[in-house]
Amino acid sequence: MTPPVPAPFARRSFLAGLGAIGAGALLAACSEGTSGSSDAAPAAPTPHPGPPTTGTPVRGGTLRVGVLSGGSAEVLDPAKASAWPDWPRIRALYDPLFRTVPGGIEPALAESAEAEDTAASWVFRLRRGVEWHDGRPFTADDVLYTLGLWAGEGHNYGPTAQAVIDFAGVRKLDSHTVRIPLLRPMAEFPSLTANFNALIVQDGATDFERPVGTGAFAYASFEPGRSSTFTAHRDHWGGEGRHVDELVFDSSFTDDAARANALRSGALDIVSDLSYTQAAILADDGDVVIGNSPGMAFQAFVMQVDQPPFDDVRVRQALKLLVDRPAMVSQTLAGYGTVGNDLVGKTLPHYAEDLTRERDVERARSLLREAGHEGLRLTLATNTGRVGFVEAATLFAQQAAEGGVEISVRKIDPGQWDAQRANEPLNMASWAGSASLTYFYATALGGDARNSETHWPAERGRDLLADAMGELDEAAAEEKWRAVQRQQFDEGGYIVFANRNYVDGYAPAVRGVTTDASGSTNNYDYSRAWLAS
Amino acid sequence: MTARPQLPPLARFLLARLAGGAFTLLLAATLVFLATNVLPGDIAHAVLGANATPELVASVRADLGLDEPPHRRYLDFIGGLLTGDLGNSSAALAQGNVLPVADVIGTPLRNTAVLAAITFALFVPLCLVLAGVAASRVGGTVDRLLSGGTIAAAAFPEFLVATVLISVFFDALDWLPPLAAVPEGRTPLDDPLALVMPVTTLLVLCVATGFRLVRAAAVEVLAEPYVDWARLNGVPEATVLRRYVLRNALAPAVQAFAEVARYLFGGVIVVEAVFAFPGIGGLLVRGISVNDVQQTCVIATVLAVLYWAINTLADLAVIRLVPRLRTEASR
Repeated sequence: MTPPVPAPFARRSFLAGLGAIGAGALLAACSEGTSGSSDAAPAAPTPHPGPPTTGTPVRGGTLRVGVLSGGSAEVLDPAKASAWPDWPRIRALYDPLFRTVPGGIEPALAESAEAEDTAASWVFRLRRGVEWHDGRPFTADDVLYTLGLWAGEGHNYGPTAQAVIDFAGVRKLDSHTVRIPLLRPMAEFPSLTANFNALIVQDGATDFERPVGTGAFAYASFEPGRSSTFTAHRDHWGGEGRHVDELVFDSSFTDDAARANALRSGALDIVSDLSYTQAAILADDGDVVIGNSPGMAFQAFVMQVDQPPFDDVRVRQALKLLVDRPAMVSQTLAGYGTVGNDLVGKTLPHYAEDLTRERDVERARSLLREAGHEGLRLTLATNTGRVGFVEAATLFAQQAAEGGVEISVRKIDPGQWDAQRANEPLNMASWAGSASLTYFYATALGGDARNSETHWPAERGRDLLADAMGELDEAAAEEKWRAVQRQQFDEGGYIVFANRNYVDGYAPAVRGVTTDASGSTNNYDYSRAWLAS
Repeated sequence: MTARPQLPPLARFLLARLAGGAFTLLLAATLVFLATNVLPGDIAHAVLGANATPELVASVRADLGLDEPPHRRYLDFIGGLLTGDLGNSSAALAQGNVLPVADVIGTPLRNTAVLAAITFALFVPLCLVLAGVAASRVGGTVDRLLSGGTIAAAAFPEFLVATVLISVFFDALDWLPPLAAVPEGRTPLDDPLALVMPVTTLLVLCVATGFRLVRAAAVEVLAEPYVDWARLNGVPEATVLRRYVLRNALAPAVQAFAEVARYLFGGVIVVEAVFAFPGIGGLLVRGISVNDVQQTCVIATVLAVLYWAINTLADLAVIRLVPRLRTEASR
């Protein structure tokens, strides 16, 4: 499946052990006694959009964005994008059919999408008057060509699209209308087109070293692992944008502190996906504005439900009851987050806010006793490259010990993580960027889900899920999604212990970009950015 | 009787070193190849991430030649090195792009060389002067201050020194920029002010290491009878220090300098990262983090070449400095 945008890489570093979060977690753990409460936690940082949203836009200037390096693997091709700095770059060059906004999506290259009868087929009406960077008009042929790429080999969005779209039936109805039939009804299908790997490329495009897009910025130069320069696409359909002349991405940073210093010294205007350690430091700096918003991004422990001992639902329930969630948020995310309740999709439509779980060590003990797993010993695999992962694993080991479960933490380097985690019955996950529950559940739990992290069996709840995904009636959909989430809440393999906030740093002059529930820096949409003098 | 045409001793020494060096480098390249190829996980997974289907992984592995037997890949790698073909970045190749490693490492290598050269040029005189001053006043206040200070400084990790410098000269005084990024098409020398903090950080650590070694050597020489003789013969103190003490203390000092030079090329990863300086250390780290096998192997081998060159230069310098060794080298 296509990534939802993966979680930011922590600076895996020499500094990590001494990072404020790590040290904070240690100190708090020491001072906490046995209650496991989070009394000692610092006051949680308050959500804030960041830059002011008032003022009259001024044209001109260069917007400089700092991202952590993805090295030689960085690309400008939506089909291949997977390194961290790829997302903001391709989002600047290309547009999606629908774009992510707080709580859902809004039309971008599509003007509308209508479900035909059962939502098993969709008619996309495309925006007219849109120009590619080379001056050619945007038409249905571009969409058909892009869909053709999804249907083929080697496209990162292919597996997701191929599980959903009936490619044989895709038809151009006229120059700006396309019918897309699906393999099964999906009421929130347009939200799947908001994925970054699903950005629309030009009919016949094969050269992604000098890409031509419809995006608010056009290609000028690119050096993988170093930097890129894009110039404003003055005829961008967005109209309101086009304020800055130039957009520069500097992806030469390997250390988040250096990136934060670059912002403080005025060498950068935006640092997206700031580490919480640096955010806490920058929050005290009067020359920097911090944006901080809750969203659907989550941190979770993942149990593979077909592997012992997690094939016993009581063990899964016991582990969920052992987590001290407030402590997780305050100590592994420095307060930049909210407690998770083992469900994914906070802030998205149909998310079941009322299902919440509190720690209950006694109940956990008795469940384990019933299951014959007293004195359970587990290994928890964690990725040293992800924000807060090692801290969370270490803290969970302490918390689980209070319930008689002995957890040893296995640290895995980011380069080995994707290859090795499949063999780890208890591991960790972090997602961001899903625009709907359909997107997450279809890719993570659906019958043919390729990213089935929990190994949730295809037949279990398949009908529940298909029912919910296909329901066009809002009220009925709410009920059906509740049933899906209830099942996951009770039996699923995700221990979602926290929802992590999106946190970005801005120079005081930045306008037209904020941090909201859609993702870091408006989900990397810089089309409206301008610089106050 | 006619002697066979005999090479000068120094040339013979060099030849021997070259032969030994070639063997050492082959060994180093082999070890690096083994280490990077034995690591669990592979580039295909690292680059494809969550998108890795077995088919995609297989096709990327085929593109990279990873489906070839290891001995084949090893011979290709070594053969490439010998013919000056450094190959293409594995990470870029996995993404369908061709990015010659030679192009990738050029600028970072130059940047690191600039940083190392400036630091080294400042380090040598500074170290000699401080060690000389301390050695000529052994046990005095100055000596104790310098010795104590450098022992303390040697215990500081680089990032601590760098962070302290940043908080003083950027946060508090706002005299210096906290980063030494080098924009495209520029050289580190275009913005000398930005180099002040990285160079200072490195100097602190280099001097802390070098000072003790050179001071110890100087103290030893100062206790030699010939120094007393020179003084008793009325040779001025400055001349004694320069001609007798410094000259004889230099031989051991050169080894300390070589150690510092090696550190400046291979060990500055932290300083590069903290100041966002685009050098070879950072490139090495980035390559390793995505399992960029080819790039990692080449950089490690290049560093091995540099280490060998530094060691050879240091040995040559010692031979020049110690007359006795010049004749020994010819035996």
